[in-house]
Order: sequence, then C-alpha cells, then structure tokens
Amino acid sequence: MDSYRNFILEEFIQDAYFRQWALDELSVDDTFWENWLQLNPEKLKMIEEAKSLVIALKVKPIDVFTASEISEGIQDILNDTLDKHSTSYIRRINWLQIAASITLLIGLGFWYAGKDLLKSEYFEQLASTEPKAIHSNNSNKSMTFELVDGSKITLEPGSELRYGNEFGDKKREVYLSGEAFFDVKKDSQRPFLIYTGKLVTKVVGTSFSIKAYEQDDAISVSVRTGKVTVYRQNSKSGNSRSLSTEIVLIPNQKAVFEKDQELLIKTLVDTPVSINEVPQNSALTFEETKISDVFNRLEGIYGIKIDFDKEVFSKCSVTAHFNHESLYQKLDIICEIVRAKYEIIDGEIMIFGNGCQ
Amino acid sequence: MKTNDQIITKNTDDALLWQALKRSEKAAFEILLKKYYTVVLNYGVRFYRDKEFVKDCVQDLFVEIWNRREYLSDVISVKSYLLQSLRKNIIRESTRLKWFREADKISEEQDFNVEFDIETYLISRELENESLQKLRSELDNLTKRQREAIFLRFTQDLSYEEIANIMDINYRSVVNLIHEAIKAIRKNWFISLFSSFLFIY
Repeated sequence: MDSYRNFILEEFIQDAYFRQWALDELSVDDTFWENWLQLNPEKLKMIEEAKSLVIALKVKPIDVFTASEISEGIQDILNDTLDKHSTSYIRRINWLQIAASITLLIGLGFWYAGKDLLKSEYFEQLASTEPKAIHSNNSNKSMTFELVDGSKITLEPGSELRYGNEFGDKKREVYLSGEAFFDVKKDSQRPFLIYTGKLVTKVVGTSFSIKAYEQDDAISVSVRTGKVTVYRQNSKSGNSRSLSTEIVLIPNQKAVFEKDQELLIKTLVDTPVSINEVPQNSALTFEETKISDVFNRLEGIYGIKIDFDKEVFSKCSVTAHFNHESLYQKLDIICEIVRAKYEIIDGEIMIFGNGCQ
Repeated sequence: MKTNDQIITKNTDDALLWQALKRSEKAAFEILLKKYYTVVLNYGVRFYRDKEFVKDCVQDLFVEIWNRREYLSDVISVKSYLLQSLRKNIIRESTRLKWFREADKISEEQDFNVEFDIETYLISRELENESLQKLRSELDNLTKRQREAIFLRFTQDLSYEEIANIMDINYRSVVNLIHEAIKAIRKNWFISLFSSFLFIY
C-alpha cells in the first residue's frame, strides 16, 4: 500500500485517488489520506503543494446539453441502429465509404431463426434439381471446402450451398443461400454459375464473394480477382433462362441487386484492395504532384477508373503522405486538398469540383 | 467459449462489452452508448461550439460502430477509442464545412475550450488567495494542446498512452505538455489549505 511514501510531487498529482481526495470527491468515510498524513508528517508540505495544483487544474464542467437533449440523442442512435433498417444500412455501406471487408454483416439472431429463413425462391429453384450435395454451415465460423472441379468455397455461418448430380460433368452450377467466398478454378469450357434467387453470377475463373441472405433486401457480389458476369434471371421463362440485364464486374467492383425493386446496380466494394503485387499498405508520397498523376497512380493500384475534368483540375497539385489509409480515406484527403468531392458512379469514381487557382 | 454465455450488465467491464458488441449483442452496444454518450458529447463540444453539429458527429460515430461491429478491432480502452474517433471526425467534418461555408468564421485552428474552475473552488470555501491573479495568468497562458492534455489526463483520467493516441502525438510530447503546465503553475501558486484543517486530528 505504501508506495506513496516514495512519491514525488508530480506522482501525487498524477494519482487518481489522490486527486479525488484533493477535490473532496471521496466519500466522508474514506480517511485514508488523513491517516497517511498522520503517519508521514514530513510529507505535509509536498501534499499541500500537490493538492493546490490539483485544485488549480480542475476544469470547469461543461453543461451545454440538457438532460432531455441527451436522452433524445441516445434514443435517436438506438432508432438508427435497429436491424430491420437493413435496407438503408446496405445503401449506406455502398454509397458512403465506410471501410468494411469482404465478409459481411450477418443479421442479429439469424442463427437461432435457423432453417425457416431458408426458403422460397431458393427452394423453388431446387425443386427441379436433384441435389447431389448440400453443404450447410450451422456453426459460427466460416467453413472452407473444395468442390470436385477444384474450386474452393468458403461458406459463412448460416449459409448453404447445394448442387445437382450433374455438377462438374458438363456444367458447373450451384445454388447459394447466405454468404460465401468463391475461388473458382479456371475452366473456359464449363463456366461456373451461381444462382441466388433472381440473380445469376457467371464466372470462368476468378475469386469473389456473394452475399444473398433470404431475409436481406439485397444480394451483393464483390469481385477480388478476375472478371465476373452478373445478370438477372427472368423467372417466367423457366429453363431457358433468358438474360435480361447483364453487368460485367472487374476487381474491386461490386454488384448489388435490390430485390424489391429488382434493380441491379454496379458500385465499388466496401474496401478496395490493391490489385498488384505491391504490399497492401505500402507508403505513398506525393509532393506537389499534379493531380492527374495522383489519380493515375491510384487507378494503377486499385484498378478502378477515376474520372475527372482534366482542364478544370489542371492547376491542382497534391502534397500528401499515405500509409495505411483506405482508398476512400485517401480520396477524402485529396478531395479536401483540392476542394472537390467524389462519388461512386457505376463502379467508377467521379471527381467533382471547381479546380484550383 | 465460456465468455459467450456471460450475462451482460451495466457492470460488465468495457473489454467484455466490446467483445459482445462485436458479436452483435445489442444490449452491450446500448450499455456502452449510455455510459459514454455524455462524455463523448461534452468532449466534442469543447472542440466545436455548434451543438447540433457535434450531436450529429456523435450520432454518426455510434451508428457507424454498430454498423461496422463485425469489423471492429479490439481496443485497449473503449473510452479513448470513442474520444479519438470523435476528435478525428470533428476535425475532418469541420474542415470540410470550412470549404463550403467560407463566410462562416471558423477559426483557422481547432480550438479546445477548457475553463479552469479555481475561482469557484475558492469562493465556495470562502478562501482568499493573493496569488490568484498570477495563477490566472499562468492558466490563461496554457496552449490549447496543454489544455486538452490536462483535461484528458486529470478530468477524464486517461493514461499518457491513451492521450497520445487521442491527440495523435507521441507519448513523450504528452508527458512534456503536462509537465510543462505543472511547472509553470507551480512557480507562483500555493494554497495553505489544511494547516487549519489538520488541526482536527
């Protein structure tokens, strides 16, 4: 207990218990410091000085917010974080640049709800297919396995992947409910097709992830490497599977399919990663660098097209040092420097602004 | 895992609450929100006087934490994580506002509003001190960074390391900021507070 005996003045000031005593914040029953002083009378002067300093440095509390403003504020946040607002949440992570990884949100309580949620479209599709294998992940960890064609699948908790008897012979078709990461073995003769409700994803050989939970309002496909085609399946045309809208995704792009409006949108993944061999977080330094060179550099790293008006921005230059910032953080900083803003439109980045003097 | 079955209450410590939040336990989020909302709000408003603006920033901060809960990394201290994130967001957002509303007079540098309470203390105890003037001027001379460090250290009870993270400066600088402040004040300030008070014993 008595390490206090060796304390110097500043150590007393730094000690939370001492400060509480100095500011009369201890309960009246707590007589530790009075007793301690009786036992160490030679420290009186130092204690007096320390106490004076603690008092001098006491900061006036701020009370600009009323109690009702505070409870309203807390309530607003609770309302904003209700899970049924998953639509607005999904839009948010797409359009705002909140950093996120490829693994995505799993709805609260979904595991407990269990199989009741895996139904409708998914099973309709399966009705005509005699399943050869069903992989379902009922654990709370992701599960990785290999298919006969050599493709690797990582299935997230609460997700299920099925395929029919003919898998691997002439075609490669699987049905997914939930979320999975695919590392597809290259085979140009037999494209790999993933059915998720109304959305079909077609690949030759590449890696990407799909998130298609029954209870979510949207399906998303995020591409890591290679090229992926995503299209809407026209349910009325039965087996002929005519293609309606089709989009092609390159690395760091993502397709989002809004189920209720049947809207298929191309955007960017939540956390674009470098497409080159360079280490993910290697430093990037710009010194009075012309903005066109800066954007060229970023395009090269992330493989994402950055569109801007070269004439308007011709006088802009950037001095900045980046370490581990995400692409979106880098863009935030660059845009702040040149007083511009950016938007993600159709899987590309558009820069808006009035240029520099 | 045993900890998964833990019942979450107001008294569960922050590290466990943070883990539970990451597992999507809303109760843990709510406890942390209620515990730190006011602290974070009052810290923010010291930076930026527009109450509504600060309230929005704090709301965004908590909503973002919930939305990104699965990707959150472990934190050493929830409180300092919150203060650090809010500080960054406010500086970023207010800089951005500056571009768009140049007519508004937003001071060139971020201010940090700290008032010292010494007069209240002396008055409430009917004490008089002839060196109060000198102390006042020493306190007024503290830089905004010193004020912020003092506030985080002595009012918020954060460690030097946490303060270094929050203010985005190195450990040594925090130690110096606080040490220099104490040294300056110590020169001219002393209250003989309890020579009379010790008499009781």
